[in-house]
Order: sequence, then C-alpha cells, then structure tokens
Amino acid sequence: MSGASGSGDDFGRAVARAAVAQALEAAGFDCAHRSAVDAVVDILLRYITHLGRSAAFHANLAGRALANELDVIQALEEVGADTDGFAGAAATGHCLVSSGVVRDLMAFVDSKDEVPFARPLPRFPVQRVQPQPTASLAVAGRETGMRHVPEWLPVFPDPHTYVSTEVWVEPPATKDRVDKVEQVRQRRKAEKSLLSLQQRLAMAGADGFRPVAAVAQDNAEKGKEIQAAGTKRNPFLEPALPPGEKYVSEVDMPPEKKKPSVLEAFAPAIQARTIKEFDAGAGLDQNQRNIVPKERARVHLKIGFGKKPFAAALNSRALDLREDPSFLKEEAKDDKKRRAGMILRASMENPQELPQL
Amino acid sequence: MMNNNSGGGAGGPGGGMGTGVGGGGDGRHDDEAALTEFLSSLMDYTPTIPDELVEHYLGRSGFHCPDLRLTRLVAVATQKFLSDIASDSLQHCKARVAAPIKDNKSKQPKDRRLVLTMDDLSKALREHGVNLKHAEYFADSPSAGMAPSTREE
Repeated sequence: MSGASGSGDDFGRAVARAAVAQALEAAGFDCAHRSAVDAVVDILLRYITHLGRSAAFHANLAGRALANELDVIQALEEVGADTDGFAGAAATGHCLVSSGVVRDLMAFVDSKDEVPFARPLPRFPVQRVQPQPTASLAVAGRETGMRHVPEWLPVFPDPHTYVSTEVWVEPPATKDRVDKVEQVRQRRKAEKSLLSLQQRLAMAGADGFRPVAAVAQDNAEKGKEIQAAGTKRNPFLEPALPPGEKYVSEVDMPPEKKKPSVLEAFAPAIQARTIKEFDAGAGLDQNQRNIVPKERARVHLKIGFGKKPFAAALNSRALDLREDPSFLKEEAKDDKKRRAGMILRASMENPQELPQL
Repeated sequence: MMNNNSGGGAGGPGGGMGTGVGGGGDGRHDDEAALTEFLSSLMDYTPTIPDELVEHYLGRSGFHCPDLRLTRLVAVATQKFLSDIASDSLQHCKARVAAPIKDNKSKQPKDRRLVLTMDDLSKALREHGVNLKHAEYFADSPSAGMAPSTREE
C-alpha cells in the first residue's frame, strides 16, 4: 500500500490525509493509527483514479473526447459492482439514469451533514499559460500564392523576420569628418582631465573647490569667534598667516661631531672596572688563609678566520693571603692592564665584532 | 374479423406497448429530471474531499471534463465510499473494545477511546472487496535480525 507514497505527489497525499482525518472524525473515531490513515488515503486516491480511468474509457468507447454524467455513472456501477454492489446491479437492460448508484448517492447527500474541507485550497496542479495555437491560413484569410501549401497550415510569420534586407554600409570618411572627430576627441579628453582634477580636489578636502581667499576669510572669522568666547588668546586656534607677513627663522642644525675612537669609547669602562677590582682587593681579611677556588678557572676562547686567538683566564691563580696586600695590588694592576691591552688590540683589528666582546 | 382480430390483436399488444413505452418514457423523463436536479443540487453541497484534489487525480487518470458537476459527483461518490469504510471500521472497533478479556481482568484497558487500527480497517475493507495486509514487523536495516556471523559490514 505504501509503495506509491514516494511518487512525488506529496501535496496531494497531504490534502487527502487531512480529508480522511476529517471524515474519520465525523464518523465517530477519536483517533487513528498513522498506518491506518495512510492505507485509507491510498485506497481513496486509487478509487478516484479508477473512477476517472473507467469514465474516460467509456467516453472514448462512445466516440467522445469529453466524458459526461452517464460515463461517470457507468464507472460508478462498475466500481460498485466490484466492491459493494448496488440496487439493480443484476439487471442487464436497465437505464443509467435510473441507476441504483445514483439513488444511493441521493440518499447519502440527503442523510449526511456537510463536512466541508477545513481550508480553501489553490488549484495545486499549477496551470501553465499555454500559448495559443497560430491561426491557419484559411481562418486568417491569407493566401500563400503557392499551390503546394495547403490552407490548413498555420500562417507564415511576419515578412520582416525572414525577408533579407540591405546591409548598411558606412560611407568613406572625409577630411572634414576626421577633423570634427579629432576635435570632439580632444574636447572629451580635456573634459575628462578637468573632471579628474575636480574629483582629486574633492577627495583632498571638503573645501577643495573654494578659492584660497574665501578659506582664509572663513578661518579668520572662526578665530575671532573663538577669541570672543574665551578670555585668553589660543595661538593654536588662530588663522594661518599668509606667506611673507611674519619672518620665521630657519632651524640651525648642530654640526656633526667627530666619531670617537675605540679606545676613547672603552676608556671609562676599563677605568671603572680596575677601580672596582682594587677596592675588592684592598678589603681582604688578614686572618684568612689560602682561598682555593671551588671551580676551575673558565677559559674563554674566541676563534675566527684571520684573527689572533686569545685566552682570558679569570681567577688564573690562587690568592695567597700570607703575601703582602700591596704586592697583590700591584700584580692585579699589571694583570688588568695586560688584559685590557689584549682586548683593545683585538678590537682594533676586528672593529665589527665589538658587540660580541 | 381477422383483420379486426389481427387489428385488435395488434392493437392490444400495440396498446400495451404504447402504454408501456409511454409509462417508461414518463419514468425516464422523471429520472432524467431527478438526475439533473441532483447534479444541480451538488453545486450547493460541499463534500469533505476538495474539488481541487479530485480534479487533480481525475486529470492524472485521463478524465478531462470542464463540468464542475461531474467533479462533485465523483467527490460525493468517493466520500460515500470513505464513509462506508469508516462506519464499518467503527463497528469493528466498538466490538473489539466492548469484548471483555476473560484471561486477566486487570489487563482490561481503562482507556475507552475509539482508535482506528489496521485490524479494524482490514476487516472493514474485506467486506468491500479490498484485501489489506500490513507488515508483521519492520526492519530498520537490511542486516537486522540476522546472526552476527552472517552480517556483511
């Protein structure tokens, strides 16, 4: 039963389902299973289709293109004989007008109350506007003038759709015409450039089309209004002065200084470091014995192409506190000087690697 | 005599035929008038099945007629068919609800609503010459109900 549900006629089935539900409710049912309603809908649509097919068959059998009420009654008799049966179905020579099917329908209409469909429906098989068939030659009253064309054929289309017409040939261009075209082209070019200039001015500012004097006058008026409103004069709100009214001194650029050498640049840092080392050495306690470093002294190597490798040893020797502190000072001073000289020589040879030191 | 007899004999049956034909003609005219009146009264009767639905399915079946009275006639006939099925199903439903369950009285449904089921519908349709059978169960997938070893996944 449900095989025909996927026929693409969902709207018709939905309308039929609503009609069936209304009829079942009118019959006295409180509710219904969905499968039962679908089965009734399918039977209902098959019944209508069967009636229409049978009525059309009887009309065609009688040689008519359109069916009338007698064809419908005969179709109803056929369907009724197949299903319910009706009064007088066994008789063979009865008249269709006095059929028992019609009497049953009359009794049904008289006995049952109207239960109209809940909502008005549109004519849902959308009727496309069909083009009117073209009138024949005989109807239009035209003559073709050709014997082999019968009169029942449709009329020919309008002659302008198929008659060949002359092709318009452009006349050769004369010298005056060329001059006029050139003038028009130049005029268009000038107008285009002027228009682009105006657009550029408009893009530059809202007052682009106004003359400079008017702009200056407006600015002066604005400045006066602001001055009247405030007690003190605001120099930032004053209008711009025209050129040449007030002398403005030129800004003097400072002269370029001489670039310092590497030794001059590093001298303060070297001096500060040596002073700090001496201060640390002077504050040693006399009671302390030998201070052996816990870690081996680190050796920093810098190796490069075309450069002399040098090694700087920090804490290169253990301090013997039993020696004289003044001797320690002198020795530390010589060591620092030697190390600073090595660094400076290396930096002079490779000035580009100063940040890496 | 013979002519008379024959005439009378002919006249007798002829009169009988005339009376019969005349009576039949009057009855036929009455039936035609009744049919015409019935078809015209259908224009005032609004069936449950809308005309647009009937026109659509009649057109699909090859029945084309501009007369709205014929469409209404088919709609009324279909509504009568539907009403007969519904009334028969209602009788079966009432009989099913009213029948007591002897096995267990506690299982008797307290809800006495009249619900159209496929069983009631199939019984009613069988009386109208339509054999309706619904599926015993529905499989949600082709492999449902099969042994796990035979399933092809």
